[in-house]
Order: sequence, then C-alpha cells, then structure tokens
Amino acid sequence: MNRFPRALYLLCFALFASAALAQYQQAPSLEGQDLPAVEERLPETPLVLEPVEEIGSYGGTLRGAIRGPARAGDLFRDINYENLVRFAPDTSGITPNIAERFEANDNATEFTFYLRPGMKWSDGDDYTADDVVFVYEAILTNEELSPGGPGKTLTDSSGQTGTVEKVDDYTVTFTFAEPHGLFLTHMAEDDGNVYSRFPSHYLSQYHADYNSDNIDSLVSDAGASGWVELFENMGGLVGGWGQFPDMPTVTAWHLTVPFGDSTIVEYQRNPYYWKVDPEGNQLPYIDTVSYEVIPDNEVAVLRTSAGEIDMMIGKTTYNSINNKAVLFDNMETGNYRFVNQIKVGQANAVLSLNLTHDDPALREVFQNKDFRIALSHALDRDTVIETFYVGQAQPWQSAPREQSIFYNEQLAKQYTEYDVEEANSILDGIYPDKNSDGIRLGADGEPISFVLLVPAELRVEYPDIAQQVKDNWREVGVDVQVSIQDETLIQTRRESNEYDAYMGVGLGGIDVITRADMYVASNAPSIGSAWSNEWAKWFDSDGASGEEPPADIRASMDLYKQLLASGDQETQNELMKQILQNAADGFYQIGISIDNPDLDYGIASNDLRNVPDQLFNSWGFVMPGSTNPEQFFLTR
Amino acid sequence: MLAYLIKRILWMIPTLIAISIMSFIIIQLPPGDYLTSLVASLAEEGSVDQSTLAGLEKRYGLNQPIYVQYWKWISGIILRGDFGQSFEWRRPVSELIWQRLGLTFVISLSTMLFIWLVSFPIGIYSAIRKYSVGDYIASFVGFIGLAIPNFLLALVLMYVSFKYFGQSVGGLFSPEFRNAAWSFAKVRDLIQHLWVPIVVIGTAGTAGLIRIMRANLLDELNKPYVLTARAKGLPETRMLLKYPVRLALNPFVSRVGWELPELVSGAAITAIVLSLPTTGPLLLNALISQDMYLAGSFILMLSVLTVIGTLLSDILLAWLDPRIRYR
Repeated sequence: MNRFPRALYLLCFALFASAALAQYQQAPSLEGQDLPAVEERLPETPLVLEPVEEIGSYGGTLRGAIRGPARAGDLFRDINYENLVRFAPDTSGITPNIAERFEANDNATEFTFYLRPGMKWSDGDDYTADDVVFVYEAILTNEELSPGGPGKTLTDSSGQTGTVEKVDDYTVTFTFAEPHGLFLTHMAEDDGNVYSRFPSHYLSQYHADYNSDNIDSLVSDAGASGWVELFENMGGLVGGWGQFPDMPTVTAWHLTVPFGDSTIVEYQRNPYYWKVDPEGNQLPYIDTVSYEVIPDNEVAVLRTSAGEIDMMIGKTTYNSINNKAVLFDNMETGNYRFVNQIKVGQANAVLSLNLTHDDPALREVFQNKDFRIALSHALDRDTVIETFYVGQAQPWQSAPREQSIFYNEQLAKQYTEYDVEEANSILDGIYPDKNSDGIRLGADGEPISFVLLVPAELRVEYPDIAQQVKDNWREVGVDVQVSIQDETLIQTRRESNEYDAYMGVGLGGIDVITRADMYVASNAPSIGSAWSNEWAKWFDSDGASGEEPPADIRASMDLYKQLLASGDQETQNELMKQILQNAADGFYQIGISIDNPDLDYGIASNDLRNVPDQLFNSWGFVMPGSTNPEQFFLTR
Repeated sequence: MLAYLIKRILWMIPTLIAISIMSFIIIQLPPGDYLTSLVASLAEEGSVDQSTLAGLEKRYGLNQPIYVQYWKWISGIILRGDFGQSFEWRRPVSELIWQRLGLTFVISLSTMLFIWLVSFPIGIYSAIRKYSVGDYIASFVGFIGLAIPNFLLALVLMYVSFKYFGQSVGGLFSPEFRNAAWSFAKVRDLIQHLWVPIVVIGTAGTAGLIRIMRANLLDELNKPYVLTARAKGLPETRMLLKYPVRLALNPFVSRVGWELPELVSGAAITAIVLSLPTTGPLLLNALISQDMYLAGSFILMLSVLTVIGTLLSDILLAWLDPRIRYR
C-alpha cells in the first residue's frame, strides 16, 4: 500500500518533468550544435513576449541597410535595445525588460531592480547583479574611463552621483541623495544601455583595477598606448555598435561580422537569449540579420526598389519625403509595404531668435514679444507647405503634436495666420521709423538687420525655406541675411553665443519631457536652447555661468526643477503642462509647419511579419527597438 | 642619370615634410573636431552625454594645441610606421586602408587598361582618317562622355541595369557572394558588376585621351620626316607606329606619374555613388566626420605617391625622348 502513492508520485513527477522538458522549443538551426538544452540556457522566468500578429516561424535572414559606422546608432535602435527596462511600443510607459520587475520609493531616491536568475550572456556566463555593479564601479565612476562624469542615469536633480549596490546575486539598488525624477526614463533610453552592455567577466581583464598582474603585457601586445585605450578598443564606451564581435551580449542576435571587414555587418542568433513567445518558443525567430553598408542614399533606394532590403523603420535615412513617390511606385516589384510612422518631432522648422544676444539693441528688439508676433504673422506658411511638403502639413508653432497628451492649442496655433497688414500695423506701433530702403529702425536708431543661421545638412529644404522667410520679413521692413553653415560650425557659435537667429528642427513633439529644452531654458548649447542660450547656461551651471533670466523664464525653470525632483509620472506631467502654458504666454519661438501624421513612412518587406502597422520615428524612444524586433519573423 | 636621380630624391624630402604639415593643417581647418561633428550629427536625434564627450576629448587629446597633435602623429609614422587610430572605425588606419587597397587596385588597373586599349586605336584612327565618318562618330561619343558628369552617368547606368537587366546594382558583388570564399562563380559575379564602374570612369578618360592622341598625331603627321619615310618606301603601318605615334605618346607618359595616386584614390565620386568598397568613400567619410588620423594619413599617402609618380614619369620621359636634357 505504501508503494502505490510512491509510484503515483513518481508518475506525476515523470509527467510533470516531461511536460517541463517539452515546455520550451528552440530554433531548428541550433540543433546539432554543441549547446546545453534550451531549458538550461533560458533563465528560470524568461520574459514572455506577446507577438504583434501571430506566433512566428523560425529561420531566415533579415536584410537591412546602414550608411556606415557613423550611423552605428541605427544598429542600437534596431536590434541591440536591451536595457534593464524599456519603453512600451506605444511610448505610453516604461516596462520591465532584463529586470523582471522594479520598484521605486515615493520620492524617487531609491530604485530596486530584480534580475532574472539563470539569465546568461551570449557565451553562457551568468548575468548577475555583479555585472550591473561592475559598470558602476569600474566604468561610470572610474576617473580615467569616464572623466566627464557618470552620465544622466546616475546624476540626480542636484547634480550629485548616486550609488549602486548589490543586495543579492539578482537584486540591485540605485540610491540617490536627492530625488531623480527622470531616472527610469533615462534607464530606458540609450543612456541606460550601459548596464547590460559590458560583461564583467570579459572586460575586467582589460581593466587596470581588476587585472593589475598582466594588464601591461596585454597593453603592449595590442600596441595600445595605455590600458584605457585597450579597454576602449575592446569594449567601445561610446557608440561601438557593430564593432566588437568578441564581446558577449544579451541581445537577440550576436555580432559576427563587424564593420570594416567587408561591406556587410552581420549578426547571428544568440542561443542564450532570454525571451520566449507565449507558446514557449525561444526567441528570436529570425536566424540572421545582415546589414549592407550603403553610403549613398540613391543606391539604397534602388536596392529597396529591387526588393533587396527588408526593413527600414522607426527612423528616417533614405526613406524621406522626396523618395516616397519612387518607393511607392516600386512596391510591387520590390515586394514591400509602407509602415505608418509618426515623427516624434514637432514643427518642421523652428526659428529661434537669440533672446540672450550680447548686442543690447538687437536684444531689446528680439525680446519684444510683439516683434515676434509680427514676424510670425508675416510668414506665408501655406506657400511653404505647398512647395516643400506637398500640401501634407499644417501651420504650427513650436509646440507638441496633437497626438501628445501635452497638446496645447494656444501654443500650437497662435499667430499662425498670414496677415502682412496686421504684422505691419503691429510693427508700426513699436518701430515705426524706417530708413531709405524701407528697413525699420530699432531702439538705437539703427536698421533692424540680423543673420539667420541655417544648418546645411539637417533638412534639404531649409536653405529654400530660409530664402522665403527672408523675403517675407523684408516685406514688413526687417532685414535678414541667410547664412548656410555646417552644423558643426553652428554648434561652436552657440557655445560662444555668437549668433543672432537659428533655424532648426522642432524637437519634443511627443517626447516632450525629455526635450523640455524647447520650452524651458536649459541644456545649452543644443538645438532646443537656441532661443535661450545664456539663460540655459545659467540653469545648467546653477548660476555659475551664463546670465540670470527674467522672472517669467525663471518661473518655468523652477517648475522644471520640481519636475526633475519628482518621482511621480502624474506630477511630472502636470508640471510640464504648466511649463507649456508659460511658453504659450511667452511665445518664445516661431514655428512654421508640422507634417501630417501619415506623411512619414517606414519600409517593410511583405515577407516580414509581426511589425506593428504604426510606430513612432524616434531616437529617444529607441524606435524600432521598442516594437520588439525579436518577435519579427519572415514568411519566406 | 644617377646624379639626377639622387638630386630629385633629396628634393623629395623637404617637399614631403611641407606636404605633411599642409595636409594636417587642412584637416584641422574646419571648426571643431571629430567629437563636435559627432555631436552635431546626433544633435537632432539625441545628444551624446556632455560628460562622455568631455571624457573622450581628454582621451583623444583633442584639446591639445595643434603642433602637439601634429608631432604625435608624424613621429608615430616615422618612428613606428603607426599611422594612428581611426576614431570612427576604432582600428589602426593602416589596417583600414590596406584592406581596401586590393579591390581599389583591381578597379583602377582594369579601368586604366580599358582606357588605353580603347583610346589608342581610336585616337590613331581618328588622326589618319581625319574628317571621315568614323572620326566624327568617335569625336561625338568622346565629347558626350566628357560632358556628362561621372556620377550622373553612374546613376543612369545603375538605373538601366536595375530596370532592364534586373541586375543587383551597386557594390561589387551580389549578396550571395559578398562573404563567400573566392571561386570561379565569384570572379564571374565580380566581372558582371565591374562593367558599370569601368564604363563610367572609362568613358570620360577615353574621351580625353582620344582627343589628345588625335591632336598630337596630327601634329606629327604633318612633319617632313613622315613625308621622307613614305617617299623612301617604308610600309605605312610600320612607319606610323615606329615614329609619329611614339612621339605623340609624350603627353601620355608625362601623365603616367599621376596615375599612381589615381590608382589608390580610385575615382572617389563614382565609387561613392556606386557604393564600391574602395578607398575613395573611406576618404570622404573621414573628411566629413573629421576623423583626423585617417584623413591625414590618407592625404599624406596620396601626396607621397604623387611625388614619387612625378619622379617616375620624369625618368620615363627622359628615357623615351632623347631630346630631353636633365636639369
């Protein structure tokens, strides 16, 4: 009688074990390779990814295109986006990724991440809390590897560096002295990728603190000038995507052919990848991802038309407006479809007058809100829309998109009517005197004349739009010279505050909080802070340099500081809305137009499935990585 | 001859030093440096973290004065044969250039052969049969080839190749052969792709050479010695090839020296348009992103080759034409 229950237990155990053994499946291409069984390669609790359309089939090679190592960030966006946490595909929030779950305390000073026991790097070594702490101790806080500081993830709202502690093998805590409101956002962005990119077991041998014995011989063997250069050549601290095939990763595909060896960059399936689909199939479905290095956009368009490129989504390289017609015509020959993309940027072109100009006469003119209102009314936006955006845009100021929760109608649409008479009458009220050429005289009696800087490469249509702006403003008696310069040179000018006005892209259409510099003076010198250069420097340096702003600008800065110190998403949103209202009342920048949401497009082969019909075109939200390319599959 | 050679070689040294300084200064002329251009290129998307940037700047020594950077670079080349590290590719410069030299040479040499093989006979024919139909046709095609910019011709041929021949365009290999080992099929695939770059680069070159050949030969054909040779009964073809043609070759030979750097830089614009894995696109990218050591070493190498090439062509010319005296 005793043997019966025991037999029953054994039977149950056998059934359960066989069920457990049959629980996970792996790709057929991994059969016959000398690997442990799939259950042993997966963590105890792998991440279960719900496919967009259907369960996929294994196999195939995904073909992409990339311009060159300068655009290596595209590799990160496509297939290397594995942070501790990540953005949801619709950018609505932050979801766990490598961390199974995470916790934050009420005032955003302490964050805990729970990792996955059994999760491994691509060479079979375990991914543990030690790897996270290694990045903190050996890299981010190391004076020689990071002489500029530890970066956004570890710097709290007061500028102090936080600490990272290992609680146990699979739990890690980040602690800050002051609240770090945007911590989770930064952890989900490219800044947060460091914690899962640098394996301690591989890189510690190239680090002087961890391998003091034979680091010198390693350095001389490699011909490097020091251990720092050796470390950099082995790990690549900044943007080394596609260059280190020997370094283990936790991404879905592992680099096999790096840049430079030939004209392709190739990735193969990572057998230790830690995600499965709801049926227990280990991801990714696709075996190989192969990027062809195509420096020239025209060749890329030709190749896509011939059906040789499977994927170009979530970003704009050669899939620009001016190529849309050609690519549309060849959709059948090339066997691909368009995927709707929404740009997270806002206005196509934003004109920023330097409100912190050194010359007091120009400063007074620029800071006069009525002057800016008049200039805005003088712009013929409809002609710009017809000429450059094939009518697929609407007039817009520098403001968030309609699809954003931060949409503020006043900020978006005020003063966009084309009304030369109104502009002239406003200007007649403040600067009525004109010289013999018809140029209005400013406060000091000199004609109002300034230089508009236009970046040469940012957008192909900028130089032409700038010409029209010049003509429009000339009509109301303001003299503008257009100077087309390289963005690098413009950057240098911004750093020394030697510019009058700047035409740039509108950032922060959806990703408003991370692009707050468009709306509140901060983060100099950047595209967003072109209107508030010296005030932004004052904010960044906490008053040490730059110029103290007037009360209304300071009000927004205070709100922003509160936002950075708050750990609650709701509070942050509320504060941001107030900042936007201040920007609407202040009317600091002049925007021209904004694309319709269906203008931008991505390209996906008809063989490529599980791609969402609509996604965002954004670096900040790491598109298309956030749409989980590991669950894409090929039907061919 | 020997004294001439030694004198020329000795003169090469200060020339090369001056060239190295000039090329380095030119690379540094655009404002900012590699990091600024990196930041600017990322400005729209995200920003490179300021702290990381400061770190990189310090590590690469980009905030040091220009003569320090120059000395670091030139001493590396002379003392260690180390051309420095490319910031963008994170590899030694010599490795990068070396990898691409093989294919660059293949393309350049085959193009050069194509040009000479085509332009010599046509040029000679044009001269002997002056104003005939053949002459006019050859001149017409030649002028069209000269007038159309290389990159435009490349784009048109690429489109034709895609639309009507269904060929995989751009690059030197079809996707299947790109990483495969060398085989007969791979060589055939290479030849199938090679015709576009050769035709594009070749047409402009042949046009020029045909006209030059024709003009020079016409000059020679009017000279008294030709008349004498004919009168003395020398067979026409033999007389042509042995005397006037040989003299008409003078301008070619003096240009041969500059073929050497051409071989290496490989018609940059065409290579960029066609996405060929040669050295031309490498140089362009290096200049755009201000990848200091790669661009500087490249320009230095091209300059050295030009200087050597000039010397070689001077010697060749002196050997070919006994009228030239050494000075």
